[in-house]
Amino acid sequence: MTDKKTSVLILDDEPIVSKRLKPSLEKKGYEVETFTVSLDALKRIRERDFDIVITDLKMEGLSGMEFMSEVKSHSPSTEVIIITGFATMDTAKESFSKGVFDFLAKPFKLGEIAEVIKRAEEKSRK
Amino acid sequence: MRILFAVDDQTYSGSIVPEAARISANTWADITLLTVQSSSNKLDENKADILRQHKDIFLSSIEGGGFPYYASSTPEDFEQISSGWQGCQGSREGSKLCLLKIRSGDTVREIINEASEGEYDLVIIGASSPDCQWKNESLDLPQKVAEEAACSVLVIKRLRPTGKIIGCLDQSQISQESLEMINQLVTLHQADLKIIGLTGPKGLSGKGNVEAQMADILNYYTARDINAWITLVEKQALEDFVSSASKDGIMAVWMGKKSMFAKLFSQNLVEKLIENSQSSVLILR
Repeated sequence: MTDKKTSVLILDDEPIVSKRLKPSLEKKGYEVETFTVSLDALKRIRERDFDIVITDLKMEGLSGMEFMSEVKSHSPSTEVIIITGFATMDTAKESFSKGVFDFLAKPFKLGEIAEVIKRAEEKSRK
Repeated sequence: MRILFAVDDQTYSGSIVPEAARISANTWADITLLTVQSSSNKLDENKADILRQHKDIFLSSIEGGGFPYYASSTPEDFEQISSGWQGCQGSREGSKLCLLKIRSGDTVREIINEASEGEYDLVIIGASSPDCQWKNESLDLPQKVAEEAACSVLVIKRLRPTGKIIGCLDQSQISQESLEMINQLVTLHQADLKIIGLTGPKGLSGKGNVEAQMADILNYYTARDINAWITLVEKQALEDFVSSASKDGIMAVWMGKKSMFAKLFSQNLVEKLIENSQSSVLILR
């Protein structure tokens, strides 16, 4: 019997974010899919569930907050982590009220987000 | 984001605790309040008390009882760790860290070491006046930290509303982390962003197609609803421009290893900038 890999979807309109995160997370054993267009990511989450979704907030088209609502309505057990370059107390509070697992302001080190993902993974496996 | 807030018992540290709290709470950051004692023999209780007091002010400065940080109802004890002493804070699920730390040794070196070992994204340090002197330290402690730290450093001078960030952002080499740090600062202050472009006898200075690179930076910010524009400055006039512009808003200077600004500025520009600036200075890396 093999352990199923924890699946992670990353959505950020800046390609550099996924470029940095994907290899690091794959090295840690995660199955990672990345998107830079929110509508493409939306199509994907309607096709399959992910254990963890990491999404930017400010994007063209569907915003991160709207995307998170879609994720949660489609798959309530998915843990969502918000990453944003434009953090405010209000957006953080709104994110938590909508069920976000954690909220990270950019810039962050890979170690910081890896810790958050690990905690989200532990929660999703409970 | 992880923030290191280096403090001592003087006014320039105490007066900026609410501002450090505002930055931390809005960026939902884990924060460490750090001070340094010279002796490694035993915990300096006065320093521990100063940290406890700063933490109380830090938490009370945030609306909603210090959320997202955990406010313990009892004074925090300290335990010895390899680099010094650390506060034993309680925790609450979902809360961010607000750690107290005391390291022992040379103040500048220990602040820089903590910034590096703790993988912080930003160091905040106070320097409220040109003649600000950290107690028992050399005159230029904030300057030295700003020059040598591996991450970005925000030197907070005068606390006043800021509507403008003046960014010396090397268009060909600037790091993504630095662009993001500017975003956070602009968001926090709801400020406009003035981007400095350098010109020489042959036009815009820098490697590659500088005009296109500058346009890329401008587009990056305007696409994110930031009111940004470019001001061209002649290379030879850069230092004068920087010291004059610091009256208008927060200066943000990218001083990464490949920074053209780092090469163009005279060796002690960071020192001069921090010493003479009338506003806060953000050294980006």
